[in-house]
Amino acid sequence: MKLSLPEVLILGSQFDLTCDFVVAKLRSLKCNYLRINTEDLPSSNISLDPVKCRIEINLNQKSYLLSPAKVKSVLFRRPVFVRSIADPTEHAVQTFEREQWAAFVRNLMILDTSTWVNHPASTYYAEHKALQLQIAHRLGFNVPNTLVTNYAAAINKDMVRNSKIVFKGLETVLVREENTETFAFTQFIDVGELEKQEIKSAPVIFQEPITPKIDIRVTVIGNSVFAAAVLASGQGIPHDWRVEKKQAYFEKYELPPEIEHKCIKLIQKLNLNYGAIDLVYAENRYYFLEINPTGEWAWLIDAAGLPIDDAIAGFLAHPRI
Amino acid sequence: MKQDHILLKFAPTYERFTGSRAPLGCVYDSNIGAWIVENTGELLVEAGLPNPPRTKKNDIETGEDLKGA
Repeated sequence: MKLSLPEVLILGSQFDLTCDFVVAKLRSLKCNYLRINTEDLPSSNISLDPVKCRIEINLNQKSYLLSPAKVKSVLFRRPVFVRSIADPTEHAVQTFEREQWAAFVRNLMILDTSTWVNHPASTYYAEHKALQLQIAHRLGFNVPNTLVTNYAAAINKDMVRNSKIVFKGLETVLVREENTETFAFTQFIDVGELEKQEIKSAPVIFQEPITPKIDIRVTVIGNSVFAAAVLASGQGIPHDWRVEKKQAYFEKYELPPEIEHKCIKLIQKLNLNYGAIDLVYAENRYYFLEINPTGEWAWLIDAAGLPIDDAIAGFLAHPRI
Repeated sequence: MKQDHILLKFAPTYERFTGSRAPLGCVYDSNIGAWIVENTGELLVEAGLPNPPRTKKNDIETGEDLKGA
């Protein structure tokens, strides 16, 4: 059977439509790519030799050889954290299989001379919010006054505006039970009410509210920067805009060059090649809120007219050395 | 589930989506590595359908790192 030697590897899942956008552009670039969905792996034959650095996969009656010499780039779109938010209806054996295949996918890091978007180890590092804020501040971004704490007395008045303070999870707050999910957005609370709330059992990020504001979603791939303002009725959305998804619309936004430059520097400092950065514009200043190394972007292609799919596919096809 | 903690207390709870995530009228083409519209063979993302399925951001918040898993 003829062996195919892909130059671009996509690690995703079947229902991850974002990968479809990249595939479409790689096809138009006539790039030799391979998309591996984790759902396909149990029905494939795989072998990985870590010393020879040779990975052979027989998938859908085709044979592929992955080697650092041939694979120029990897689009990694799988979870890095082993979070305990698995499906409560999943049987233990299914959990075991899922975790082993997830580890296999992460072990493809033996493709150590390929350009990763993003490297799993860098993603793991970059996902920590306190680190993000520290690095952003050192790069010259304005950042909101922030405290991670589990007792209300730690909060000082510099973090309160109009008697309110913002709070959010240090980690994604997603709790699944048999028939329901609970997902926490960024919230505002009156500081007087805060003292009555339970925060001792798990730490919380508190920040000064930056409002009124315009949220700006910045997508960086390599040295390319794409920005979109998030608006409703012609104005910024005062709270977590994801709560207002149905009313929100997105407009292409021109960032000042110095802000674009800082966004690129932030990605580089975090050893990333891609990042989705949440900024806000308020009081004639840009504030950094957070960066998501695995943030979504495909919805902005149509919603804001941003050719991010072209940029990502182009980067994968011709990664910078 | 105990929901006293501030992060859980103020977080919305909703019914889990347990239906099929397969885009209507589409099949996954393993050779191409993408969903195609069954009756035209076009890539779903290039088909210009009137109500195309959106990526996760416009659908359900599951925490972006989960990548739909």
